[in-house]
Amino acid sequence: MIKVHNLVKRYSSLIALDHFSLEVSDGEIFGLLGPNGSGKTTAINCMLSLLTFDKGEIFLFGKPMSETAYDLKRQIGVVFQNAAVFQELTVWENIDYFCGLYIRNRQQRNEYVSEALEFSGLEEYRKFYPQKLSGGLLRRLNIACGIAHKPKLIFMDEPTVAVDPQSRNHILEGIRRLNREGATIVYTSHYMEEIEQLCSRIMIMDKGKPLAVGTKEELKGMIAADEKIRMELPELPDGVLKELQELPCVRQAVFRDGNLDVRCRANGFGMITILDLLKEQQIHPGRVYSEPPTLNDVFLAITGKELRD
Amino acid sequence: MNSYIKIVKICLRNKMAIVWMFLFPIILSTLFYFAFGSLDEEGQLEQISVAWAETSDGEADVLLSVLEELSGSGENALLDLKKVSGTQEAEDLLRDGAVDGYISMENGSPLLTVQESGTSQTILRSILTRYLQIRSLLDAGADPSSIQTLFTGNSDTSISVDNVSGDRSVSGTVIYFYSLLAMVCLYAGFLGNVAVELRQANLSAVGARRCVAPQRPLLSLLVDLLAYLTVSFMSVGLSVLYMAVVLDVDFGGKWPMVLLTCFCGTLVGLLFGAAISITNRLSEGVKTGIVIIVTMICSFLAGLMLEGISYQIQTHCPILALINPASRIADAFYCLYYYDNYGRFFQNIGILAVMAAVLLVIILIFERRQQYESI
Repeated sequence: MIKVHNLVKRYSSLIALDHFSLEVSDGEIFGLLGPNGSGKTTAINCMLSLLTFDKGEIFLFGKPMSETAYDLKRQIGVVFQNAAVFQELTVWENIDYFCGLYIRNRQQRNEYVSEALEFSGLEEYRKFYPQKLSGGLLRRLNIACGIAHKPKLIFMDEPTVAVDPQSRNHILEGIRRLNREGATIVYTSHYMEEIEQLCSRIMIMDKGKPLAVGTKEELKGMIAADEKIRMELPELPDGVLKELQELPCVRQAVFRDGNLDVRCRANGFGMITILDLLKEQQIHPGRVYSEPPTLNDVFLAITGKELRD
Repeated sequence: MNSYIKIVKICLRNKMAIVWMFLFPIILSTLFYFAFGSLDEEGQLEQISVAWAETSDGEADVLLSVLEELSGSGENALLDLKKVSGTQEAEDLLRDGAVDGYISMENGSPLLTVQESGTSQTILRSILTRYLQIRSLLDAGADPSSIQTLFTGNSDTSISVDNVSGDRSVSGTVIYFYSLLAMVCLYAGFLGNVAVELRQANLSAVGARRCVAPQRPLLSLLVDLLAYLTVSFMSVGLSVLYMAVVLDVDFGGKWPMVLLTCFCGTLVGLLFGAAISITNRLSEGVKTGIVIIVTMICSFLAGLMLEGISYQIQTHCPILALINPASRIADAFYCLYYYDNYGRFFQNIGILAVMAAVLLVIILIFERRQQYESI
């Protein structure tokens, strides 16, 4: 569905995309993860031919993408990060206008607009102007405008920024539905849990380069992420805490407010070792929690922890 | 068609557009009406009543013939001449306020007697002063027949205007309204600016969404411009209607040509705004500022704020008057009002059409080259 090869995009001396390559198969929900300024949006804009690029090739639907590739553009939908709607048009009119850029037939367009309204749960707001909509409803309108013409390939650039959990859930359900109905989706977000829930494959990129690509399990397998363990203890003598901290599998151990928080090195069998030590010291923990590495851990491990713009 | 209708709706629902394009011209023209409406009336001289005290002085015949000439053109005559038998009767009339002054002869020279000072009295004095100057010329050997012609303006050297509509009293204030209409036409530049902004991916999210749609850019640009032109034309048409019906501004009654002028003026304004917007990557605010500044300068030079300025520009820098769209629009309206033939009018329309064609070519060239290195 998408094949990007060795894409290079420069903004003066800044390299936004540095030999960026990507392949997305038909029917996938492909997640694009990266810190701010990593090149996600630039990559999408290049794929949409909104931006010129210095080097590389982009193929969509097996054909080279260009700004005059109208046959390809007809099959693409875009949900931009910022709401791209006319403030002077009602919800219905906005969807009708943008759908009309793809669908000429009025009857067919009316059907598509009605379906988009139903899809986004905006039927009762069809006569509202955008400024009267809440943030969540505006996001849903933004999505409806991008997908009303039933595209086969949809680019979604952080479509759930600043929306309430109910709206986010509605949007994510909608994305799954679009995918079930046959659309291939490229999805960018800062919300790791969204990417984990939605995407069949994920690319982590930074500084314009792809750093890792795979399923979430594959990505987690690529890093040696720490295991986090929390145990509820009535008390913990200082000597025992010191012994814990000196265990080879333990990276860090802290006792505070009746909780022992331990970060164990990956694959170090930390839980068993710690429980054995506590048993020897006649200390019996209450509830015990173990948190395996998350996509967030993978992301931070791959992209680093330094603050970004 | 869907795009066209939606863009028209967008314009008509935009509060700023409504205020600046529909309400502002009406408010400003109303202010003009109250500010300048009385100027024409002030400029019209009332007939001056003057008494002539009959005398046997031979010199008086020449002066009397001049005064009779100035009072002999019916309602439009400058003087209302009353011949009385002597200075006493004239004095009585003056005292009663029946005349502004009386003229008598004393020692072979005319004597003007007035009771108060004012415009009428000043004019009477000017007439006598002029008469005395000419009499001096006669004494020096000049042709006596020139006395009358110098007073009445029938000489060959008098200024004449070709093809002036004969049955209309000429107003000096209409140029303000025509310049205002020229400004309203050029206000279409705001919409031209918006038209391009809402198409550019680097200036608006809506522009980005439209850029990814399978639309041929030139065709969709023309549809957009047509929609914005419709709204601009409506705003100018409404202003003309208001001025003509409510403010009683005279457009010469040639309504199809008035509408043609509105159309051409609006088209130039719209394309000018679009050209400013498409040819540079400045921010929206800067582009709007350029449109405002250029519109105001053009309107000023066309006489919006100072009536005589357009004449001065025409006299001293004709090329500037030629390329100033506001001058051409205002002059086209003035031609319809003032002249019976269309020669100069169509010259203005032709210049506006050339301007529109040049701007359109610039826009199309830049639209074809439109690519974004950054968004």
